[in-house]
Amino acid sequence: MSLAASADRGPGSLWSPTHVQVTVLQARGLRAKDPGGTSDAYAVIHVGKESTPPRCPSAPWAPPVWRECTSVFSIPDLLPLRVHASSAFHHPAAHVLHRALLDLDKFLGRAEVDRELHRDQGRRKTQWYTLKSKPGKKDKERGAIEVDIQFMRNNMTASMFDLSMKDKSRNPFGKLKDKIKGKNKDSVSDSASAIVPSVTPSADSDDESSNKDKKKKSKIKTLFSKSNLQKTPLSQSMSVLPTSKSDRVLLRPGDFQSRWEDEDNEDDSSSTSDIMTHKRTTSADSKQLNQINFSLSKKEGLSFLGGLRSKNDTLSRSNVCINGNHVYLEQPESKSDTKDSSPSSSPSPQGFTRKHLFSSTENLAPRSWKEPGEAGGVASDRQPSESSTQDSLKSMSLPSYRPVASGDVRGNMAPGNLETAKETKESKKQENKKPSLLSLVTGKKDVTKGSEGESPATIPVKEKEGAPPEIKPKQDGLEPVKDVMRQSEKDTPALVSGRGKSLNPFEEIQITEPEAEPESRTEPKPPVLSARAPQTKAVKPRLHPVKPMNTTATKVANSSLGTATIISENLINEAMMKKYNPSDPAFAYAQLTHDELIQLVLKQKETISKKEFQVRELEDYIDNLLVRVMEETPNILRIPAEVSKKAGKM
Amino acid sequence: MGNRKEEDYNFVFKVVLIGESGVGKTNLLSRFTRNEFNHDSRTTIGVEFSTRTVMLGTAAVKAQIWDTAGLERYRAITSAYYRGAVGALLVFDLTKHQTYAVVERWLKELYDHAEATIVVMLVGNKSDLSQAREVPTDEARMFAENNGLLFLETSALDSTNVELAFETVLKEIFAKVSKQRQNSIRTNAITLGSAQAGQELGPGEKRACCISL
Repeated sequence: MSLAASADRGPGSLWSPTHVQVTVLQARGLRAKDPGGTSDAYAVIHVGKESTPPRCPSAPWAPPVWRECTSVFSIPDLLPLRVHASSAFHHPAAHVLHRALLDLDKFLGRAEVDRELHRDQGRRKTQWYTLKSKPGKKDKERGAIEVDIQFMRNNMTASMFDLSMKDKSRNPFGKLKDKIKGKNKDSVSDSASAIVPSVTPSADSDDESSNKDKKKKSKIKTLFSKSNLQKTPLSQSMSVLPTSKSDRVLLRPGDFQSRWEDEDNEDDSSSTSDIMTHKRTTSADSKQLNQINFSLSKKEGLSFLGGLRSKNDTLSRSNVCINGNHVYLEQPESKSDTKDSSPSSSPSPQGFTRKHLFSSTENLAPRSWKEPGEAGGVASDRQPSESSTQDSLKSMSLPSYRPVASGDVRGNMAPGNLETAKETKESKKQENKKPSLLSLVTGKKDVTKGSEGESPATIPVKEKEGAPPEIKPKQDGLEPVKDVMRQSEKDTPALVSGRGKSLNPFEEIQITEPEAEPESRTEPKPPVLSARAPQTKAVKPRLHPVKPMNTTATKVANSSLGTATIISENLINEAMMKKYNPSDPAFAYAQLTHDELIQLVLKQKETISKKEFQVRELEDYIDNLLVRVMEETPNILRIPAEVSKKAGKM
Repeated sequence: MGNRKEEDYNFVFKVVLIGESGVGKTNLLSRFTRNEFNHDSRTTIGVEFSTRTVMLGTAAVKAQIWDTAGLERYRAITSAYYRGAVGALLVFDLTKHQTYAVVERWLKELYDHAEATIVVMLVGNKSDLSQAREVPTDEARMFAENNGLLFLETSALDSTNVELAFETVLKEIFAKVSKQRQNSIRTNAITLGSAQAGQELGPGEKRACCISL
């Protein structure tokens, strides 16, 4: 739908991409910087000032084929209110750097890919670009990189803006909403985003929307986090929304203040949410979901799921006012579901979440989402099976994962949950291993289902390939979903040593089964520590989902090559990278993988010990010299001023 | 007392500054010998000394004050550093109890390498930072009395008691020397100066000259 919508709008008029997704697929003919004649090359994508930290590490061998080297940029000059078709779009330039462990990265070449994009906004292009030297330097044979560029647009964000923007002026936002709504109607789906051609247009649109939502959310979060004043707007917006429970609204602001607090709040909300969830299950209104999503976005920029769902529902449903409570409850559930973390969550919560999901999916289906419809069907089937948490989990997991493998399969799979359930569990475990991000992504995928199919699929595939073998044995032993989740959690630490943060959230989940849903929410949050953190989180999720979506080819490569550990490392790295600005000296190191960092530290330690030894030797030498001086000509040890006097006298 | 006459002196007393790193030994030295204080002085490397001639009664006493890094590890210079010293200022930072807690260790090193007759003063430096004091004056004074040490609290920053500390040590040394002279006993620890003008060499220096020559 998104494609159609975009096409209808036309590049010049309504179709004004808010984001551009740049994927570096592979490189050839790179200059060899390593002694071995290869280059440990990676790519950094810059869009204007938004030099991204997407680390695109390649295997040390050449030629490099990058996996998951995708980043989404907001088009700088596009403001929420005004979308310029001719917005000054900064040149996305992909730099290929040779990564040296100790030294600063060496420049392998750069490719400017902006111009074509500019002209062809609204399109997607994959083409080879010849790497060039830095401006002002000699041109050398630097090889070429294949870059996929895709312009995207987020409609979901509009709803987000409304909430956050109320303070300033509703008019612009209202306009945006109107536009969006109109667009949505055209596209039938709220999340409709004008995406360039992709294998599954619907999926692309979802991804894009999710990405956009994330960005928007992050912005909103930053606003709130930065100033207490902004919190009030949130509360207001919340109040505006149906508010049977003002308490939650209050809590959310607190959430913004601190993650930990958020977690507590979430727990509270979860407890309350149970009740709410029932309501929701009974009547899962897309509107409610949308509202919830909004509240979530405000409250928690981190919760991608909420954002995703909101995206799905938000555009069309934003109008409807739902009870604030319901909305909130749904959000947590939805989050847990999306995360797959659902596995971790207690059965009852899962059931709720599932119900919610189903409801949400169902809602989507009527809206004219092909994939969503499938999902909805699955959800409905599973709702009855809520009593059996495992089944429900399986069903949950199935929709999300299968889309990855094949969108059509999802519907089929749902019925035969049991078989797929194991796989889904595995995938879940893998996802768990990966930070909350993956789970979030998957969750989003579930919501969006059809649209996400391709992109999400790639990630899950990777996970499955890498992690499943390890995880399965444990899973088999533990039928209870919770147990499985716990195991998966345990497994995850072993697999991924780097992500301490992600582990913590999981642990929490384990401890409190009923609260698992809220905890799941918290999971995404933990990574984002401060106001900045939300933004970073938003960025992280973008990368993964985006990457898979962009190119099937990349996906395949990823699936074959990627392993759970690699993914986790990437996630960690991304998290790290997010924290640093390109100008920050630490930025160079943020691009290193966990293993590389360890190697770096070890090398540094070694060099330090060597230095210390040298220093000691020098000290001893000086001491010996001093002894001789003190015994023979102590006068030269006299402090200079005095010495000079003496010298004169002498 | 404060007269500076480099060429005219009757005695040269070698005094060493010891104590933990960062207690202010170098600034005590610069304050006493040059009336300077460096707020951002770095850790001392190597060995230095500075001189100042003070009048004790009718005698001109040249104080040759040695300063080095307050390192814990054994250094080759330790022996040479203490050799010939007739006085020592054992400095601690009264705002850092740790520097006071290791005074005993410094005392041991001092007595291991210096003459038994050496005059030792325990100096609690940085008295200007009274709000951050961690070592009570009475505690330090009691310790000093129990170990036969002189005691003063000083501030190289605001010059409090710096002159007094050095002069007290020099007087004590001079008293010992005078007593020994009366007994016409020379101790190695005391550089007997001679009244010869222009002679700046301490015992070590003399030896050096002799050796080199």
